[in-house]
Amino acid sequence: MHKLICEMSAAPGALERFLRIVRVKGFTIDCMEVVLENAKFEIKLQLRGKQTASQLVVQLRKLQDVSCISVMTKGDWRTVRQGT
Amino acid sequence: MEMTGAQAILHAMEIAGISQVFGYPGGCIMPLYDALPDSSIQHYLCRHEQGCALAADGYARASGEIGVAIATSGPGATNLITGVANAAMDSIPMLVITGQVPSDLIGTDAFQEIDVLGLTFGLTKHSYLVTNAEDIPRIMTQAIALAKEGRPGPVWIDISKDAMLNRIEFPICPVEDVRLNLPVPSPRSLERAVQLIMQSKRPLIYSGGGVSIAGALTEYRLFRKITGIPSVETLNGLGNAGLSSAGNLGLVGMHGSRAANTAVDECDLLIALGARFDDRATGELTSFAANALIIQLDIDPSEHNKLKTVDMFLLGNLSESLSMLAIKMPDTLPILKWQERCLHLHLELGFKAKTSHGSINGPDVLDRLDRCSTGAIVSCDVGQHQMWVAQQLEFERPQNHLSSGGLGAMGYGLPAAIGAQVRFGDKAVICVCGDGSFMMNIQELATVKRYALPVKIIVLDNAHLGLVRQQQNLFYQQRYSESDLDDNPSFAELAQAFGIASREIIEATKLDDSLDWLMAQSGPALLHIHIERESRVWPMVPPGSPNTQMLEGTSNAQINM
Repeated sequence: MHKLICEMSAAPGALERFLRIVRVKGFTIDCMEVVLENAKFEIKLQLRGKQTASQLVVQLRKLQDVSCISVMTKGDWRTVRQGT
Repeated sequence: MEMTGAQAILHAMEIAGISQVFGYPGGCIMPLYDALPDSSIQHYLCRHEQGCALAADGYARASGEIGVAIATSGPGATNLITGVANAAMDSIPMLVITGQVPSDLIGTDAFQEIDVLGLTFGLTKHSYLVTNAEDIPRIMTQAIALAKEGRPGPVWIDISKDAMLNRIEFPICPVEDVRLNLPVPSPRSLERAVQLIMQSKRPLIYSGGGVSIAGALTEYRLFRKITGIPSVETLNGLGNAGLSSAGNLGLVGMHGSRAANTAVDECDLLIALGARFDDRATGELTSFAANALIIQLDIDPSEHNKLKTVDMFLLGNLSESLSMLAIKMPDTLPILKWQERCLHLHLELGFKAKTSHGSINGPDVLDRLDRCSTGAIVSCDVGQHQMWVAQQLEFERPQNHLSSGGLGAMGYGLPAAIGAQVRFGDKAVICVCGDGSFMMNIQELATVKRYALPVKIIVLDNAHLGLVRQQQNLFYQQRYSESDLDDNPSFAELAQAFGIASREIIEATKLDDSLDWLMAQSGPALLHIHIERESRVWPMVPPGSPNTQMLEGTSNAQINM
């Protein structure tokens, strides 16, 4: 189980592009939350896959719309969201 | 400066120094074609949109500059896809412009409407849908920069017809450029890499297409010269070492030489330069360089441990990384025995073509072509002939070898040759095709004729899908399902119908004369060569097997798996 948090511009197709990479790299999404704020998406993902989360992150970082992305090592992102 | 969106597209290209493009007009892209004659952009009309995209690829691959392909909406866009995917797989800088239905019709299943943006996600570095003319200058500038920066790739802009027709003010300084912030390896990591190289008794360079894409050819050759480290090359890396370069064992992998694959197996340090451990190069992955530490240098962080876990990864532009490494290297490395071993491997286990007697042997054609084509740009299609080109021809620079490496797209050769010849009008450009591949974009003979491009075309015709047949022979109990092309036309007569000079031969005695005739033609010409039907590509590593398990055989060898 991996947890990612990502911020990306809300450009046309940005979310599809993001999710395509997740699929192609063999990950399955368990839970996803997207919030639009100031023309940016904040995406929180809980997913599973055979590859490491860092291998997915380096692929997602290549997307032009992604401004920052990180793997959460502790806690549940829902908790983090409430706390931030 | 006020202009239409269509004029803004062309103006942005002019500002970026783009002067030659490949395209095909149609309904939704017509505003751009209407503006074209008033611009300085030279347009080359191909006869199929796939031809446009592959010509743009050949143009970019041969020159290192961005290639541009233009098409209309719907089928124009879908026809581009193979060419764009080809560029994506081999990291070729390309700008793709398509017209889209007017913005108020998007999503209504309008005539020739297709969701182009949705189609592009898996085959571009980035893509845009533009419905507002005001966005055109900014997006064009961004797209061109993006296609070329870092690890290059295709960028696709889909523009609605109304956005091309609307008038805008083109800013004097529209540049909101993509920042080029290329990483450089740290001094500490470089020191560590030097240490590993100095400790190695049997170091080997495994170089790929990234060397030339990074513009690092000079630095790479200097690094080889300083260190004397032997090398092997991937398909897209052929030519990195230059002509007759001592210690270079050439093609590695499925159809690589036994010398190159043995060296990879014996080395204790593998230095991967702009190479991505593709399965055609590595064979069964765990056995590839199984006895070696691995240092990988690449511009793309996602290549780190993507397939093969490496001991050290140096992230950065290759030209800078190699320069920095070279400075830190000692004058000589104590690897004389290993250098001698590699020289021995090259002499004993390198590629050798069997001379044709009577009927014509495929590799022999390429071996003879090598002798009369020094300095030429050679494009090829995909199949047996592609492997013979890789095995038998030497390239003085990798940009002289145009081959569909990652995607393996049949039909690549002729349009790619057109692109290269458009860019380098005074250079010899040779297109080597198989009979199967040639038929996939044969319509581009009309483009060759239309612009009097002096491309020299060689069709190696064995009346089969040769590589498919070879695998059927070896691994599918000789069940030759749908690989027979016995009903091929006379390609020589076909060329003549397009107004292109041609010859057709079946006997080995006529081979040298015919090649001389071909190369002596001032305009385009085609040589149709009937080769032995049972020609094989040797050696061959069965798919999924270690590279050390290479098959070699006579023309009729069969292996039951």
